[in-house]
Amino acid sequence: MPNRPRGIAQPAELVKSLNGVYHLMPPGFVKWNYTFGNDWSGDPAVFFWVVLSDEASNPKNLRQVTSAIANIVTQNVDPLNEWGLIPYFSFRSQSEQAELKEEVFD
Amino acid sequence: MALADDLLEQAQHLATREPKRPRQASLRRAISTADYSLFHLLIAATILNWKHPHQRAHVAREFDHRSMKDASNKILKTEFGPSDAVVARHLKTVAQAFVELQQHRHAADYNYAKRWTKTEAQTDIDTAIAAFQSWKIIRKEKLAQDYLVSLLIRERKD
Repeated sequence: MPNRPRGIAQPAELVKSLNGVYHLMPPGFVKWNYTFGNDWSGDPAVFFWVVLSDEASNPKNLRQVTSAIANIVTQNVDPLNEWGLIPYFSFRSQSEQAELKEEVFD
Repeated sequence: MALADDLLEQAQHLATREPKRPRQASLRRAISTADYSLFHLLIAATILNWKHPHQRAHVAREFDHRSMKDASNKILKTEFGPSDAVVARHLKTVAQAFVELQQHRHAADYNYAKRWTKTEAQTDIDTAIAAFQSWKIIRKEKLAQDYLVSLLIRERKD
């Protein structure tokens, strides 16, 4: 039987680690939520739901901001190697979230 | 690599064809197409190594999404040596993009409940563009060529 990923066995520790990088987020980052589950093939995963400012969501700025956020998480938390969870990121703008009000982003 | 490039261009077109109020169908297809652009880039690169051109289409049909994901995650878990740092960084960009785009494609194709936004679609297109750029830099390197082989070969579980 495969071992449970550390991120599932010790969720409070992972949350602590994730909370620890919040202050490192770049300008344009507004807020995030994260959920744990399985991806399309059944592998354990952590899903990051990130709201960006409208300015950061402008296509000319988007790549820089999204890369910075993903790098901060990978370099400081390393969900895949340290916690056994594949990280997936979803980004949307404040205006888009204000219109759609999707719970998972709040 | 014409098909892969065309798919990437098509993904961008779909994401921006209705600038004010994008249709969900356009965004879903943009996300799905961004994934397929990278999928086909890597398949095309792999089958080009096959000596007999008339067999390449057959080889292309042997790729399995799950195996390709596992091979990509293996790259992301590997600690490469300092002499491979630059190539490894680009290879991880490609592998990370493959895993991420594949997940989003599944959601875009099969999750009817989710509503997509232009920012989500553009993020995936940007991810694919970055992967294309990285691949162009490293495609002749040994690590990159080894990655292609790993995409095709299913790892034995025993």
